[in-house]
Amino acid sequence: MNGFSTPLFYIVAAIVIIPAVLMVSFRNLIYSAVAMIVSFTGVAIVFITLNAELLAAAQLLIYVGAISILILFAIMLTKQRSGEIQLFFHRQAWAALPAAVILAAVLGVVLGRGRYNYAPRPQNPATAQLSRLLFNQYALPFELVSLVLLVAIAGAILLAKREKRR
Amino acid sequence: MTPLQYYLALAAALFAVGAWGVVARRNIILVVMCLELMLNAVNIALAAFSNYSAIGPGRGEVFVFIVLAVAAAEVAVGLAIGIAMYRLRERLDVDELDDLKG
Amino acid sequence: MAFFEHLIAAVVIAVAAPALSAIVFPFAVRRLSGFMSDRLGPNRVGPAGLLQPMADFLKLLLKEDITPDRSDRLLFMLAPVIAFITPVLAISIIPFSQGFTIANLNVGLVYVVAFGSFTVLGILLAGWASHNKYSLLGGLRSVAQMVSYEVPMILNIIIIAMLVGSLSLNNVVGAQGRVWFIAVQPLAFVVFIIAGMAELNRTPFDLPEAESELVGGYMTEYGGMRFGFFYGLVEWGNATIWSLTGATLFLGGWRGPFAGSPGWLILKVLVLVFVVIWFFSTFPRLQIDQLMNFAWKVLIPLSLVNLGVTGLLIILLPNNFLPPVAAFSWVSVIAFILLFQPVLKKSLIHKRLRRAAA
Repeated sequence: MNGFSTPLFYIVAAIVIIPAVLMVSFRNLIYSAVAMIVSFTGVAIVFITLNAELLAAAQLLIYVGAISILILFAIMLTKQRSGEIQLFFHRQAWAALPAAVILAAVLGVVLGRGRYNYAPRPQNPATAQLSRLLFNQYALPFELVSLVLLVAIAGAILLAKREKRR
Repeated sequence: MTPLQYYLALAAALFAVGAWGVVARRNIILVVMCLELMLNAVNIALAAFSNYSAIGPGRGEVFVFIVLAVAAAEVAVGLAIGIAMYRLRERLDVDELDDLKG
Repeated sequence: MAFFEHLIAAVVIAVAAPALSAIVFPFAVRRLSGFMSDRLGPNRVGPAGLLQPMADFLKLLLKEDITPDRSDRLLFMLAPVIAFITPVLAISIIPFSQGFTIANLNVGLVYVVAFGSFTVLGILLAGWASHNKYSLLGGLRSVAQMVSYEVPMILNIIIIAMLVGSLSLNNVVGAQGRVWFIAVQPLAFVVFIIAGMAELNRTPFDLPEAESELVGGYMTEYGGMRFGFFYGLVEWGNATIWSLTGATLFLGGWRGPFAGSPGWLILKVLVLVFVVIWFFSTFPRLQIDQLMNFAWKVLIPLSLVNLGVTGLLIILLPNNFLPPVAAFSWVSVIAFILLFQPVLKKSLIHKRLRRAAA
């Protein structure tokens, strides 16, 4: 969007980052999952601001509509009997937070100082160009991805089958 | 017009939050969820580069589509493995799932 | 239109449409299903019972607000709100008349399906937050059913997108100038109706909320106005959205014989809601394994074949592909309707069921 203002960007960034941080800190897994869903919706909004409307729709469809439900199913089916014994402050967790902050700082500095040859393009839907590329130049990755999905389906079904009790 | 660097900073922050979650939490399902956060961060970066690129739009979005599909496949298989381990052990603690340890 | 007027119109329509459908349609279903069962529905309150919705509304408001004891209070209250996101957002992409859509998106067709995922989430969280085995089971079954039937729905929407050449709903209505798509692809329309019934959790696919099976499914613990929220606003709001989508995709949207106007769209929505009520009164319920089998083993192959043949015909005859597509679709829908029962009888599923029952 031409002139997508920075204050709006901060709001959208808050919708993405704050639920993500909450997600990592909640004890209750379902609350984490709901925070993750909010974060995914925020990422969809980020895609809309980047002129990628079809990506935003795909993000909503795939992440919010399928992956989140899959994760919620997994959480609901694996509730541990003895309650939530998330030993949050174990050995590794103390080192994790400073490490993550350092990681963010390093990435931020490296990416921020790069010199980018960029031209903000006018309001142009990427959908036509995306589909043209996807089916002409990148048709092989497209077909390979469908193969990967097929293998994943078969694998998940096989793993989820219960052993027949003899 | 927000500069490209802001989107990249957002992607970096989200990636770091996901990395923190993967290392700090012990429930395997939460680890998979944080992996998804990291993949989302990568998607944001790719889409941002594609939007601001001088060549033209499209390539970044193609890459994002591929990552979306592979992430979905990975979540399905990862969670299937997690549920299978839960059925076997009734524990979802990553520190206790160490059967393949050498 | 200026930005703020557009915004206010958007908010009014987005809130008024589910609210109106929550007022009108539950009453309509009771009256109409009564007529179809050779009895009168509620006709005492007000002239011909027209004030019955008001009486229901007051009754629901005055009921005690019970939250289950060990449930997750926050999620319990949040779940209907999440489920309500779908009707509110999805109404913004429907073209009401030429030049008036709240949000004229280039990829509107994909968004229609994408918004449906919020209701699925709301139902899942409602089933979980009720802390009740039957609610959880009902919620899980409902979600499995809705997610399974999204696939034939999406495949049929892709067929329509191929016929139009665009993903924008305005272009879909624009392309139906001479002939409506129901005449071009009746097979897609039939599968759309079937998948839509399953998406809306209506009979014959309403096992998750059947009173004789799971008490109330995911809605069991929701009483008073919370029930009114789920049943009226969410369920009938989604029915309105589905009818709007069907009317736009297959019945020509706001087009009418003389001049296109929103009135024609509303008339078509009423027709499709009547179809929903009609199915509700006539069909028996399908079991959960029957309906999952039907989705994965019948509807998806059928939709894939339809998709493949339509695509092939569009590529081979890029100039006038409508007649061959229509011919193929009419032949296959008639074949499907006539041959479904005999083929099912001879199929392995049936043999296995009979062997299991014996």
